[in-house]
Amino acid sequence: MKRPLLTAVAVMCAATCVDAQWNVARFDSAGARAWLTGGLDPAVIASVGFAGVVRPNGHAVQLGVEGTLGGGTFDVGDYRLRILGTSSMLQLGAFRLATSAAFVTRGTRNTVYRATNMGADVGATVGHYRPRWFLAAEGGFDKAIVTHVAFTRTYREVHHPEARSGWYVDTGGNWRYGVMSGVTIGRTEFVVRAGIPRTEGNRSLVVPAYLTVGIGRRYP
Amino acid sequence: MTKWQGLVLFAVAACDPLDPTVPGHLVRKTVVEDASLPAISLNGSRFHAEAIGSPNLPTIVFLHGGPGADYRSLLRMADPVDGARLSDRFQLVYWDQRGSGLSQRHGRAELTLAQYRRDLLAIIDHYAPNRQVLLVGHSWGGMFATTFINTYPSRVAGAVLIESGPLTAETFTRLEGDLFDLNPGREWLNDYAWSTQFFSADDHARMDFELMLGNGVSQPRHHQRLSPDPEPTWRLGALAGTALLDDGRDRHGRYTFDFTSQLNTYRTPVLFIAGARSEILGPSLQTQQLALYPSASLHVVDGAGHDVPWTHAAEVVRAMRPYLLARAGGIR
Repeated sequence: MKRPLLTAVAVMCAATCVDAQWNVARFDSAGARAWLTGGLDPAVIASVGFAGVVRPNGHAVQLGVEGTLGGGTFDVGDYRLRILGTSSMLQLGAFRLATSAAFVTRGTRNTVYRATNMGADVGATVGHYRPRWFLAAEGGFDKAIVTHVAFTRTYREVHHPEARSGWYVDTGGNWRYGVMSGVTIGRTEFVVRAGIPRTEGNRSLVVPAYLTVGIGRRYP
Repeated sequence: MTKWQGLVLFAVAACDPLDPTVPGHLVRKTVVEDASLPAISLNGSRFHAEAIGSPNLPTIVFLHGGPGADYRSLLRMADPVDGARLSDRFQLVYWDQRGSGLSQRHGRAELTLAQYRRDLLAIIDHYAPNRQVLLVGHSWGGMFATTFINTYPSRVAGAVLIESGPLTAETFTRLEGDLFDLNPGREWLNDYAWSTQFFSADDHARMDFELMLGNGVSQPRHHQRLSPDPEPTWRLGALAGTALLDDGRDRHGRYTFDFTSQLNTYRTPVLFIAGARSEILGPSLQTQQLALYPSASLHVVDGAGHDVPWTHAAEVVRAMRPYLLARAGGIR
């Protein structure tokens, strides 16, 4: 049973070299991309994204937006919205270096506080990109720049009545170091990311690793 | 300055931006930051501590849970029960352990089991010089009481161990997986993980604040009361919690501690108390742990969970008062 399935996948891979990668270094086509992602980053997440390529001054830049819900029940209180731009900066044969920058806004609602945050994410990916697959290393930094925090009534009543609600600056930031890989089948691509997040003070996070799987689709 | 730059500066100033590391913003100030809190200085540290009752009476030293929590939830045992207070017959000493609650924060190197035992000895010497004391410990406090008795048996005239944690590495290893609900789909765990995008646990304030997200909800098999009137804490000492646990392990992460190695010489009767609804640290475990002391008995409080000293304080006082009075008669 396994062999016919593997053969079919291999034939599909061999039959196409369409670039459908949505978050990596190839922007040779001008098509739009949509993707779905799930996994652990830094909580259990489900994401949906959409991106298109623009060419100011002839240099391709992928502009996109990605919305994420996090948490065990995926309630809308735990959300993340990224508006991101990605661009290939260097190409040496099959090796490419891509950089990205994103404006991030996110929210959370839990037993202790509600918060809305605005931040920035910068990252880089360097890897080996073939027509039907790629393997890359990634690194980046996600900074919480300003965060509005409102403590819950329970937290005030049971723990800290004088907790200061309001706008906080520089509440934190997280580095990430990882690898990503993907295969392309027709207009569809499957991508896996895995790595380690660390706080800006180089401490481990509660969930000491991230792992996501995604499926993307290119639209000509 | 352009009009827009001025507008941005005005907006930031109007918001009065807050610094998460400033004491008191996210979590309560410690005794180092708030001079109005009752405190004593011992062993190179400053402890949040208070004594209730005459110093001439036999002394009960309360040991809170955690490690890293505080004594707030134990204070109900000082309230009147059946028209009498424990402080009518005893001096009650409440204190937050090193790096815990509202006591001074310390680095990992100063948060060890040996240091904790030395701190408790200093507390006893301060409040009951040259006398024995009675210990009442809840959860980790029961473990702390036991390791202290194991090391300084002559200073302890009796002990009440309420919902004590495991007293040996073997038992701790067996139960560790049951203590916390780490199902990846749990809301508390995801809230905790999601929160790391907002606050980085890079200093005591943010580390302790983040830990509050798991308070009460991360251990459902303790059957603690979440509402109304949940067990309160002032502040959780995150580093104290992890450092003390780590001190009980070897470099491979295996628990190696044994708080019971000398207990067979401690002939003094010890009282165990458990909440009937507490699954992991409740009657079943305490029945096993009774055997580690030469002379011990167990009292089970009906309808109570692990937070029995808070939710059923009167029942706990009724159960332990006759024991404490009997033991006080033998204090040297």
